[in-house]
Amino acid sequence: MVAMTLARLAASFDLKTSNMPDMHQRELRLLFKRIDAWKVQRTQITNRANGILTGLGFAVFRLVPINSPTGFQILNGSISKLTPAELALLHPRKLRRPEIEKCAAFTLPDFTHTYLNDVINEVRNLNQRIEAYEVELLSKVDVCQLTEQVALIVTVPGVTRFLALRAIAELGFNFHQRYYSAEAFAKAIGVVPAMRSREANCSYARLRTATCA
Amino acid sequence: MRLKYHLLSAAKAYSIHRKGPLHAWYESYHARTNFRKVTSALSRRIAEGLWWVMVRNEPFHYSQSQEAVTAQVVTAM
Repeated sequence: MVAMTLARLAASFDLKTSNMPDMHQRELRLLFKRIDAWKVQRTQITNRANGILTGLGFAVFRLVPINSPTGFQILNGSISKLTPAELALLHPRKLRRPEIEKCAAFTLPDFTHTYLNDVINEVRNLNQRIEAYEVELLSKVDVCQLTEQVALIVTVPGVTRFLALRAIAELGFNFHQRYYSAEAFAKAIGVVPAMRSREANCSYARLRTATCA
Repeated sequence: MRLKYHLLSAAKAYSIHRKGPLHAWYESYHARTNFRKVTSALSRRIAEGLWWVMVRNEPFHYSQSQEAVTAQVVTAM
C-alpha cells in the first residue's frame, strides 16, 4: 500500500528527491554565510553610530550612508572639526548640500572622536574582508567547474554572477531536476504572486488553446 | 530557503534605480501601482527564468516570453 502511494506520488511529481549538498556546495554556502554575517555586522556598527550621532544632534548620516566614500569623508571631516559648510561641500550633489549643512550644524564633542575613528576602521576592515571573500567566491566558479552553469544562469535578466552562485550554493547545481515545472520551483523558493500582466494573460490564453488543441 | 530574499533584492534594485536588464518585465507590470506586488512578480519571473535556462540548457531568450515557452513544452509533452 505504501509502495503504491509512493509510486503514485512519484508519477504525479509530488515526490521530490532530497538534496544532499556536496563539498563544493558546502564550501560556497560557508563563504556566503561569512559574507552575510560581516554585512550584518557592518550594518549594526553603522546603525549604532548613526543612532549615537543623531542623539547628539548630528543628523547628517540620515541623508548620507556612513558606508560610502562621501560618508567616510564627512565622518573624517567632522573628526577634524570642519565647519558645516565645508562638510556639505564634500557631498557631490549640490542640491543636497544645504540640507547637509543644516544637519551638520552641531559640532561633535571631543569624546566621540575615538569612537568614530573606531567605527571608520571597523567598517573599512569589514569592507576589505567582504571584498576578499567575494573575489574568492568568484574564483570558485572555475574550481567547482561551474563556469558553464553560471554563464547560463547569468543570461536571465536581473541575475548577477553572485546571485547565480548563491542559487547554486543554496539549492545545489542540479536544482532544476528536483522540480517538475518553473512554477513548482518558484513555489519552493517562496516567490509565487499571481502573474497578471497583459503579456502573461495573453500567453495563458495561448497555453490553454494549445493544450485544448 | 534564503534565495527568496536575494531574488526580491534583485527586483527591488531595479524598481528603485530603474537601471538594468529588467526593463521589459517591469514595463509589463506598469499598471501596478503597488511596489511590493511588482517586485514580487519580477522575482517570480527571475526564479522561473533560472529553472528554464537550466532545463533547456540554453541561454535565456529575452524576447521570448516564459509563458510562451511553457506552452511549447506542454504541447510537446
